Amino acid sequence: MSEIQTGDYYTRHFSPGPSDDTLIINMGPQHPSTHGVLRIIVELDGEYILRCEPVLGYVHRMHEHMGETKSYTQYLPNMGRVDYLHALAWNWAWCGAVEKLAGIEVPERAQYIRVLTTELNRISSHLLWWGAYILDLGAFSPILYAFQDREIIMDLLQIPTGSRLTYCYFRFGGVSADLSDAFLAGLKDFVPYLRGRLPMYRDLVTDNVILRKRCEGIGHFSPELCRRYGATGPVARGSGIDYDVRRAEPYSIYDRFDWEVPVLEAGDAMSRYLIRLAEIEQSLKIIEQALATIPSGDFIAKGAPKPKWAPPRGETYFAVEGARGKIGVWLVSDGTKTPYRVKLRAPGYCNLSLFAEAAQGVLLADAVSILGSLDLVIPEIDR
Amino acid sequence: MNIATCPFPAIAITATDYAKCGSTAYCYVEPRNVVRAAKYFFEAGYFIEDVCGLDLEEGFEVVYHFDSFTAPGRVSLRLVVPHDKPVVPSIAGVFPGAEWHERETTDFFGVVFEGNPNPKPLLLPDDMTLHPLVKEQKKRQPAVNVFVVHRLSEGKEPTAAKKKPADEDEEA
Repeated sequence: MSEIQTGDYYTRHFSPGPSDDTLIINMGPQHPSTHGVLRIIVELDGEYILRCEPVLGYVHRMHEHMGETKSYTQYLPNMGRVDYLHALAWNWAWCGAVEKLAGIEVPERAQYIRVLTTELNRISSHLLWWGAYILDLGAFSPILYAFQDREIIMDLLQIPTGSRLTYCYFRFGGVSADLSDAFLAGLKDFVPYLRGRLPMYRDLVTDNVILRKRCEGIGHFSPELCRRYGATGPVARGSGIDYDVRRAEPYSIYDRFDWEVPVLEAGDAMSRYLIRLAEIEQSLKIIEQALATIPSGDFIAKGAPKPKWAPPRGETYFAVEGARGKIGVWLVSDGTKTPYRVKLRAPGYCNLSLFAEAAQGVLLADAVSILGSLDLVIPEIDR
Repeated sequence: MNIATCPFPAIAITATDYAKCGSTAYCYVEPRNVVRAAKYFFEAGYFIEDVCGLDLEEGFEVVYHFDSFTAPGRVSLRLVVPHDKPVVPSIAGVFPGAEWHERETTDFFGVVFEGNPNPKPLLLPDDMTLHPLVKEQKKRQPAVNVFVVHRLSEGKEPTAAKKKPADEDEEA
C-alpha cells in the first residue's frame, strides 16, 4: 500500500511525547478564541496540555518587504494594517523612526495631537480587548457595552483621520489634519462619560465571581519568563515589571503629564486584565491634561517631507508603547527614496512566543483564558 | 561596556549616540562567539527585543537588539556571515524568545541558526524556497553606504572602533 500522508507539514513534524495515551489536536486556525487565524497544535493528556506549538503565518503579508519596495510616504498606510486595533501607535512608530533618522522636528501642537489621538486609540483597543476577552470566557453581553463606548471613540477619531479603523493620520513632521473644534468638544465630553462607565464595568464584570474564577491564578507568568521571551506591555506589567516605553525611553511630550504606570505583581490573567483597565484610566488622565494645555500652532512642520523625498543614509531604532507592548521600528536607509531595510518589532509576536512554555500543564479551557489575556492581534503577529 | 573590559570576545565596541540611532552601543562579534555574548547579556539582566537580518554586499548582517527593563539603553549585537555560508549558532538556548526571531530570519534571509530547537518555517509556507528579503546582487549596498555611526565622541577613524576610555561609555 502506498504511503498516505496525513495532516500537513506542521502536524507531521510535531513529534508527540513518549506516552501513547495522548491526543494531538489543532486549536485554530479558525478557533474563535484565537481572534483571527492563529493555530496551535496541542498535545493533550485528558484535559491537560502537555505540549503545544503555535503555528503562524496565515495572514502573513510581508510588510517588511513592502517597506523595501515603496517610498517612505507610500509605506504609511501599511502601518494601520499591521495592527488595526492600535493603528495610531504604529503610525507613530514609523513616522518617529523616519523623523529620528532625518532629524525632523515636530511642532508643539502636532505633538499634542499625536498624544491625544494615540491615547484615545489605546482606549478603544483596550475596550475591544475587554469585550472580546469576556466573550472568550463565555459572557456575551459585556462586548455590547464595550462596543457602545468604542463606537463613540471611532466616531471621534473619524473626524480628524477620515477613517474608522485603519488610520493613516500621522505624517513625517506632524499629522495630516488639524483637530476641529467638534473633535475637541466631543473629546472633552467623552472623558467624564467613560469615567462614569468604568464603575459599571467593574460591577458588571470585574467583580463577577465567574470571571474571577476564570482569571485568578490562571496563566502565571514570572518576571523571569517575560524577560527571557522579551514580553512587554500589559503582559510584562502584569508580572511586576515596571516597564513602559513612554517612561523608559521617553518620546514626544509624555514627560509633561502626570500619570502612572500601573504595575501588578501577581502575574496571572487577572492582573493583566486589571492592568488594561487601569491603563484606560491613565490614558483618560493624559487626555484630560493634554486637552487643557494644547497650544495653538502648526499641525505639521513647515518644510515637511514631500512624497518623493529621500532621507539621509544611516540607521535608527525607534520604539513606542502600543496597547500590546513595545512597538519597534528598525530602519536602515541608503539615502534613496525607498528604505533599504525596515524591521517591525511586533509586541504581540514576542508576547505570544512565551505561550508554549507557559501553557505546559494547564487545562485546555484555561489556555483559552491565557490566550485571551495576551491580547493577540494576529495581523500584527504575522505582519 | 568597552572592549578592554568586555567579558566576551568582541571585534569592536562603539558607544553610539542614543538620541540619533536608538542604540547606546554597537558590539561586533565573530559568529562563533555570539552565544557567549548572549549569555553575558542574559546575566546582565537584558531582555531580547528582536533579531534582524540585513543583506549587505559584505554578507548577511545579523543584528540582535537587547534592552533592559531596569536600566533602559538598547545595545545592538552584530555579526556578519558570508552569503555562501550563512550559518550562525543559535542563541535560543540562552534566550528562548530568540527562537521565533531566528526562524523568522531564516524564512526571510536563509540564514541558518545552528542549534535552533525547532527550525521549521514560521511565517512563510513550508514549501517556499525563496527568501524574500535577499536582495539582487546589483541592489546590494556595502555597509559604508548604509551605516553612519553616530559616535558619542568625535572619533577620527571612520571604520573600525577602537578602545575607548570607560567614562565615555557611561554618558549614554
